[in-house]
Amino acid sequence: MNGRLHEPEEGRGTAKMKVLLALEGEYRTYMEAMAAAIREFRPHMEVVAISGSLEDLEAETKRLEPQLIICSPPVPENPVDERLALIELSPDSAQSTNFRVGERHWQSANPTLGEILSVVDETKGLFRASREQRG
Amino acid sequence: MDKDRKRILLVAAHNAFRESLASRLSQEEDLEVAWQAGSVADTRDIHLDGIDVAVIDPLLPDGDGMVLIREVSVANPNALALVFSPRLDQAVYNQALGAGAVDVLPTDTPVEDFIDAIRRTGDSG
Repeated sequence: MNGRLHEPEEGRGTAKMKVLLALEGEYRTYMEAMAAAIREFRPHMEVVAISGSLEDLEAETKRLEPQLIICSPPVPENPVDERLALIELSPDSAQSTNFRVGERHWQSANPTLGEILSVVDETKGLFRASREQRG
Repeated sequence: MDKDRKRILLVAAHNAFRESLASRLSQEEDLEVAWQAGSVADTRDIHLDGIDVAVIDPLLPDGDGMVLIREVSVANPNALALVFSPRLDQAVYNQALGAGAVDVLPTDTPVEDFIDAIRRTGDSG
């Protein structure tokens, strides 16, 4: 498995980062398992998992204000794309998954859980930096 | 090895999905994901002795995972198979059960129900 599974010490902080996981209902088993895995390996996060329409995703994004959204494409531009980080996770392993953390974009074919957790860590770093800047 | 724990072979193409499911299953005291594979070829590389339950998503990049149901049972007659997939219709059900699967589940199943189905499959032998 690529990426880090266990949380680096320096990644822990008092502010709780929020992750919204939103996949189509037909992948509910996998989505709930992924939410549980993120909670297990990154216990200092708030992880919310929903399955529903794009409108549901938009509404939950406005309510929760997550720093990271992991969702299946297509992704609505607002307010979802305004978050610190976004993973457009393709449920089809043959299709690339799109990653964005801050201004950095990349693609990965059939990413591992470790790659997802690395993005969680990187997003948390940005989140902490943005909080420190705001004082 | 704890004899009361069910040892699971988990076969699914999507790395993050499969690894997440393995992580979730391993939180259960009576379950252990002992092997993972993302393709037919990877599964054939595994020494299948000792498997209690094979959980197979048949949509694999190098072939139809249904063939693995028979191969697992030939390699280990005590192993029981559970098929799960986002694309299930009557033909898939019939194919899976005809190949010897004990149960067939869609991937929109709540994960707790999915875990119960694995236990039922393991207990049905």
